[in-house]
Amino acid sequence: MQAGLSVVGASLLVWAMMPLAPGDPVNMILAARRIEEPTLEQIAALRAQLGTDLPLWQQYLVWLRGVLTGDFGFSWRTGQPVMAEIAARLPATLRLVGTGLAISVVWSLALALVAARWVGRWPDRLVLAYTRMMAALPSFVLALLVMQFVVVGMGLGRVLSGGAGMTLVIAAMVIGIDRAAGWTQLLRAGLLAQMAQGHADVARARGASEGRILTRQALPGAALPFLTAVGISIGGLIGGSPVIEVIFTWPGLGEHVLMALSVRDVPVIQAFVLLAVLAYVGASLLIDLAALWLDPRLRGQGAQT
Amino acid sequence: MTVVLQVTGLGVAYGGRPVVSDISFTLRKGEVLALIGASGSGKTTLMRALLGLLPPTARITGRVEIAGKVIDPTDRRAMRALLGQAIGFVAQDPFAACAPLSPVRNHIAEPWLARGLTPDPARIAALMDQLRIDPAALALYPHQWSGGMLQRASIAAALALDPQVLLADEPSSALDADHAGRVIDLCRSAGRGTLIVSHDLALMSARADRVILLETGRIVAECMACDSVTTTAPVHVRRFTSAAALPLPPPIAAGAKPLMSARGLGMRLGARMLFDDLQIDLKAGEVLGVAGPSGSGKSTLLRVLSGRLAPTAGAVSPNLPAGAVMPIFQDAQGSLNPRWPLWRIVSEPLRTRWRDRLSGAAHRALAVQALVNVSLGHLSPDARPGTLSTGQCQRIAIARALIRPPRLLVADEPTSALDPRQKARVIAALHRVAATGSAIVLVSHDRAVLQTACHRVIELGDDRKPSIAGSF
Amino acid sequence: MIRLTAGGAWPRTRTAASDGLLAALWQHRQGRAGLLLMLALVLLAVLGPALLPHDPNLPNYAKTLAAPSAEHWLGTDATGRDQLARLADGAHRSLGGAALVMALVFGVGLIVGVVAAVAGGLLDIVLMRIVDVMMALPGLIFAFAVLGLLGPGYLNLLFALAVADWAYYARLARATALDAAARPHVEAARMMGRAPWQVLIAHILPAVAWQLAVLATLGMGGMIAAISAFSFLGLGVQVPHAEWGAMLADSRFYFTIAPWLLIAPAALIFAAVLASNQLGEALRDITTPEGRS
Repeated sequence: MQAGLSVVGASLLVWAMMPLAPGDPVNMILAARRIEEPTLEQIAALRAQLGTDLPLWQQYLVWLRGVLTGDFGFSWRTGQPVMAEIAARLPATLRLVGTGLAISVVWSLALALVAARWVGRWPDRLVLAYTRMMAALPSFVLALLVMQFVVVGMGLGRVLSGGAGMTLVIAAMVIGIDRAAGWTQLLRAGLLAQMAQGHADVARARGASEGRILTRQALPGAALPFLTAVGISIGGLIGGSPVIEVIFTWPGLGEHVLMALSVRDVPVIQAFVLLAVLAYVGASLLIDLAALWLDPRLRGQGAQT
Repeated sequence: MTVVLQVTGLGVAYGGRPVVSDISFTLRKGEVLALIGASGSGKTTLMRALLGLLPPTARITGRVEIAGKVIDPTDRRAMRALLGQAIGFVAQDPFAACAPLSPVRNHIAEPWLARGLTPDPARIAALMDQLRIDPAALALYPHQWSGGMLQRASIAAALALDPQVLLADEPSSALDADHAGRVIDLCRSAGRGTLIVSHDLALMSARADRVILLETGRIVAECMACDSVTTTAPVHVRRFTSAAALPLPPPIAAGAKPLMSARGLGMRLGARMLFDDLQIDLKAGEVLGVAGPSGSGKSTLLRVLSGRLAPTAGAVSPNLPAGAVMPIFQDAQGSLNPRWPLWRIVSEPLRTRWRDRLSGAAHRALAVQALVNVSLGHLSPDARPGTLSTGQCQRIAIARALIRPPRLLVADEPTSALDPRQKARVIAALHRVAATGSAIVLVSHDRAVLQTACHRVIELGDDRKPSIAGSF
Repeated sequence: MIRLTAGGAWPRTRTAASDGLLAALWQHRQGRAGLLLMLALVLLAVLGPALLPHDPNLPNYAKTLAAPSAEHWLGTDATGRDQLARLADGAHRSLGGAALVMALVFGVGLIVGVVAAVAGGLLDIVLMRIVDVMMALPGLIFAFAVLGLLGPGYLNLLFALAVADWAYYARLARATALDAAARPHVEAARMMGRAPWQVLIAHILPAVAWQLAVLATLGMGGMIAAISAFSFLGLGVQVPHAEWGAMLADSRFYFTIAPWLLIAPAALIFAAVLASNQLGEALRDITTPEGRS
């Protein structure tokens, strides 16, 4: 319900980019295609194609119907259908983001468990220092340094990547390592809070080892906030991917979106934003389901109301 | 009888500062030994030392024997082999003691799983039978259990591997009076040596065999439980009892003026009648207790009397002006702004009207005086509430009422989270407010507080007809 | 309650924020590190342009890609401009821009959140629906959209980042205000006869402001990173103006011959984000009222 309202609101907001964009869209399209002296026929044809003579609410409905059937119109810059251009590049971006996400979850899980197991001792201090360093290194700076030192310097991967192999591993690791810093801190704090709870203490008094308490008592309780953080960052990962993709010349959406941004190719930007919203809402729903599965108290409430 | 636990000269210190010292006692099979002490007397530290659960910074001296074998509480690995097997543990709050995300069955199976064993279904069935727990309920989650039943499940888990010693940390304090006694009896019926840490001497005198009194980390008295509340009890025990003794309210002045009267007061919540046709007359300086089971509308009555809620029937007259009523809440910490120093909290009632504002120095001086009046003169007026105990916070809240005595003070369960000594101090502070001529309405579920510390008690109950009891 | 035993769980005594913010930060290890680092960067931004002899935007084609020397401490870039002067000139765009955006979202968030909480009713519902929609647009996505609308540029970028970020602050401000208003100490203040505006100013606004200040300080690092990232992509600060992210973009193709051109701006971005994060964590620690767990 909440998610549905948000999606409708977001779609309205995204659509509003079109009429809100300063300047006549026809001029913007012509500028984006670098047509300096358009003929009258070209202008008339564009106007008909855009449907800008309709009232605003009709424009929204027409646009929405298109979006729901996967039709985002045509790119102002290239004149090609937006959806086809995105569909051609999306798999590469999803491959990169998905691999990065997996690396990040595994890496942060491992680091947080190690830190919480030896809290206050050197492994914990090392993990804390590492995550603070990494949290202070923006992903694009990390990507740039890795690109220069590892790819150029050590000759691993390819400077101009074809979208596979070593470059995938390196670029995904950059995404993974970058995201893992914050998640490790979050999960470590969650684990420590759980370890200090009464039930962990009672398990200790029953003779359970610290390792068992960590995985059996603390991890289930700390998992939900961690998963929530992972879920809500998926949209952000897609949103942040252009920077990484440009640096690693990854053949995903990045370059395409950046070109669209620099010439204000509104339909492409709209499609990209809606894509990220969809990823965000989808992930939120998954997290809600995971929460129901993990926490019996939520199930109880659902049954009563 | 066989000695199952022998403690000789046990001491715990942090950085050279002793927390408990020179503790010696024996616990025999089948015996219930109560370890009594006020908050901060070191009883929890002592219990955790026996469990080997003190942080590594603690320095432990002395000798602990379980069933004749010397154990080393600092050796975590060796202790792990004993915990569950030789020592069973029952925690204070059963809901905190059970992981909320797994069914109660897992909690009872933990002693086996913790040492890599397979849970024994026959033993679990026997325990369920002994403690009268429905085995079908084990598949449910803790939040679906009642507190009393869940505490039984905790005892079952503590007894799972048949340990010789049962350690219980305030096992009844999170339960109501009916369940509290039963939990102690269940611990006894297991036939082990049971050591119970408690601050409730009255309960322990009736349920335990022997009582040990701890003060500032040392054993100051030991006696049979049945003697502990008599005049022949050791002097420290008698002093402990009298420190917890509740003071009587100050007498109402002979010519005390009537403050307010409520006629035919009724409150309906949907289809439910909370209370009906209440007649309440309050004189200046009077302390009125309000009793009744939970959900009987005690807190609602306070809101009606203080003018925050309109009654559905009847009326309160006269209507007290804004600022004439001061509240005291159950959540003592929450009733103080955590960011403010004490002097600013206590002097807040003086800042209600901009025109009458005094200087900061005057506020501070008056606040210091109010702190002295609630026996907290030793606290720095610049301290923050976060550094104080619940009982101290409650007295700060009362000092705030004292600085500009209200016509009416409404206190909602002000002593429910306190140990007996703190309880007595909070009541004494409330009486100081009454002595200034304020009327006090005190809601409590604590019979002793109502009967001793109030002039009159009204009962809200199922029959919806209040009865007046205990007049002085 | 049961005491915890996990190592390091014993509470440390610490100075509370209300005992003087700077003193409290100084006594916090991370806070002190953050303060010193941030102070150094601010000095670079403020004093650098005044004290350094070179014009950050003046090319010198006779001296391109020069290695660090006595005259050019950090060398020169591809058009012979002094790297140190450009770093100092870029500092106020990275740091000052981030601070400006944070101040903006702090103010807007505070006002929207507190108004929604105090007014309640329809206004609250409408404002929070807007916030919900904004929060469904993840992270930098909305900044992308706004930039797409307005076109590249430094001020457009700052505006876009502020528009993308304020909703989180409004949501937190509203939640904190409602939470504070329901606290017993606020109820006590009302009952002792303090006027609604007194309760708002004395009890509720400080609680909201502290919460938002912590969030803003913690978010500052991300904002510095975002300004640099967008400028790196050419969507923020435009030529010839210096900005750390833009300088990274300019220098990446000369890495093999002039690696210092890449490393210096990267190090400054790292230092700025690190300083903000340390300050934010310290602030979070010292504003959490002690004794409440």
